[in-house]
Amino acid sequence: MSVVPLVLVPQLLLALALVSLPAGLAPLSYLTSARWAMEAFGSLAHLQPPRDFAACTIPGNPLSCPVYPTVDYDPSTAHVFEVWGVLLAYTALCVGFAAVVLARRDRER
Amino acid sequence: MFNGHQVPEHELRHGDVLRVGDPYTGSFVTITYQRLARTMAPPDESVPRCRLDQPEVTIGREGCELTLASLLVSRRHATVRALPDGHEVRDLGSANGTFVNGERVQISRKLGRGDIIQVGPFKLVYDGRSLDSYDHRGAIELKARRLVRRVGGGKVILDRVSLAILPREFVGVVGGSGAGKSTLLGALSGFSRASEGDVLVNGDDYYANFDAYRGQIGYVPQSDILHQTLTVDEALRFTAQLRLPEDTGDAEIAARVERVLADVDIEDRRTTRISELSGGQRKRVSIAAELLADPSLFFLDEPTSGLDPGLEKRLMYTLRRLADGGRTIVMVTHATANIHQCDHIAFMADARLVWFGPPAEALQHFGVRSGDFADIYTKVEGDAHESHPLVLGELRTEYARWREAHERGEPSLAELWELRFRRSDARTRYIVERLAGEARGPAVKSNKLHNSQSRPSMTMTAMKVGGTTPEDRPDTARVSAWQQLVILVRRNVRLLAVDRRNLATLLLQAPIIGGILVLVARPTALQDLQSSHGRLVLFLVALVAVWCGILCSARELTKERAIYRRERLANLRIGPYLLAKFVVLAAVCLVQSVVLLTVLALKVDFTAAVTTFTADGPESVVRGVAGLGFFGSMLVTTFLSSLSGLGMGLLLRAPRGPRTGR
Repeated sequence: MSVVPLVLVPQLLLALALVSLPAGLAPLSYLTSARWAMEAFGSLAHLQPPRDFAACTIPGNPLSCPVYPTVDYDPSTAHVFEVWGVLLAYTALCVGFAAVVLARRDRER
Repeated sequence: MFNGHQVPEHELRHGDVLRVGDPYTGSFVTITYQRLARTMAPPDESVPRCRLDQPEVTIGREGCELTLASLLVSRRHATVRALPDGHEVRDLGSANGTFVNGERVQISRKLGRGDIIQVGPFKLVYDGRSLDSYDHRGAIELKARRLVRRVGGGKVILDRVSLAILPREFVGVVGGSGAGKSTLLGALSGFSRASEGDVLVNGDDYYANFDAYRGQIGYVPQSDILHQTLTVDEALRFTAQLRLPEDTGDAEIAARVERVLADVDIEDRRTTRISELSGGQRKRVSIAAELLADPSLFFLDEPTSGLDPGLEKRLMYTLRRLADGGRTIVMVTHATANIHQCDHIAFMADARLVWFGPPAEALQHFGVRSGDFADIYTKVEGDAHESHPLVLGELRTEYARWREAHERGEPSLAELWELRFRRSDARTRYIVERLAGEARGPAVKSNKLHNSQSRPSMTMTAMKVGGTTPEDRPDTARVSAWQQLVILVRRNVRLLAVDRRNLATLLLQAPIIGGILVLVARPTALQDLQSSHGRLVLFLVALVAVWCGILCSARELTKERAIYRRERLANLRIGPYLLAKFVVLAAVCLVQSVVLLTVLALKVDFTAAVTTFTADGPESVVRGVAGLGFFGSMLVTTFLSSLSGLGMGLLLRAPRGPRTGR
């Protein structure tokens, strides 16, 4: 059980939903599936993207605050399908890697 | 029973052994028939011959021109077809494969004179016009020559061990903890191989021909290899479906299960859950599972550990009977109270073989007069030095000899005992002479190529020589992988269904967590698009979905690691195994997602129509991907998130790292 938190905490913090990341680190969020889940939800529900209120250019005007880097709640159907595709590929990659790990272990005979 | 086959009557010959036993107490007597005037003719060893005068000869378990009655043979296993210039053998998609000279036939293969076709426990020798079939059922001998196993750091955990085990012998590997017993068993069984030396099975290089022998080996590891939550009958049926050829009918499987349960004396426990059995009965069920494919070579790792003396004695009796019924059995054991049931014992000490021979003679060899095997353990343990009582006494010559060869240091007692054994008559009688003996039947030419290397080249030759077009290529791999997937999915469903508590935990997670979400979510969460509350609620849903997915799969692979490992050594494929887990758990995830969102919808308004504010002013839109609706699209997203968690869980739990405890 000990490794499960190591996977879950990044899902919570790096998903670019609750807290922002510096632009350079934002691609880290690609590794968490919660980020893609949130992107699909945001697009489907036509939500406003999350904004970093600490970095607004015009104080008091939320629209002047920068959107979290790489976050895109584009409500188009094509975008939703894309993100679903990413989620499926994410799953397939995990299962594929699991198969590779199992196969490699077998060879250590 | 004679030589492992049932016979109505039998004329005794010199050296034949009669055994009369009582299965209830596990006591038995052995009578050896001695007749010093050896005037009788040697037993008739004629070999059945099948002439290849038809254009096509089919080999199979039933209703074929050449019938080989073994469960390791598929109903229609292979054909031998006449070509203008000889014959070719073609595999008909058999479960256990057809091998020519130790290489698996992928499609078809041209035969050369003297080639050996292996089909299950049969060897067929091709001489240009006919096939001579040698039946190796109940007649497997195992020879090991100078086995060495080194582990990291150059430490030797198996030091030049040679031994010879004849058909139907029951051999116990004994010795103190860490003496190399399990290492020796691993090397002999091929499941964790020796780094140097050869293992010969009926004269064939065992490691190189491992795939051909894989199906004929039974291996019972220390850990349980059946799902504890299933009943004996269910567990054995699933194992039978996985291990026996695909074309084995349900009735045949039921008969086989009945038979193996009778073999291990637990017929009355058929419908009991394995977890409710006693330790001894559980071990018997594991042994029964391994007997399903009727292996001729059987390995057991400490089958009697944790059993009370009565159970231990009865289990040893069962093994003795299995050996007499046509199996070569090698067993690691700690318990020595019933060791006299074994034909031979291999005594290991400090990675060395310090004795191989009948148990009674072992006591004599080690100078133990008490008749207690435990005294041997004490005598072989520890380091020798000049004033050691054993060095001053019985090991004096060995110590002197060792001193001659070594300037410095002190030997371990095991080393001295090994020296003594190497010079003993017993070694000549039980190892040297037997190793020199000829194996019965033909031996596959050793091509010293290891399987992993020979496989690609073999495919190429098969394609070239066979000259077959891709269309008529039997799709062995896919068909049996599909079959495995179906069996495994059914087994996983069954496992899920019987483990009520686990199922309840999995299915209750969603409504409980959904209920908590309802407490914090506002009804307008998905309607008021300006507020960040909607994002928070949906992010929580996403996290919960991923979390449920991970939890769902997190226990799956760990809880059956031992089972997986054993089945993998038989014929389990990784693809079907993982996919079967995935499919069944995905169904659980789907239920969880539906429940989670339904509970949430009790409070949160999922109305699709909403007014958004764009640069051009307010605009009314209907949300959701066409055809699915808003709620449906949200559900798909939740389900997909949950699947990604499932994938992560499987990856996290895939066993990794070097194998320990071996």
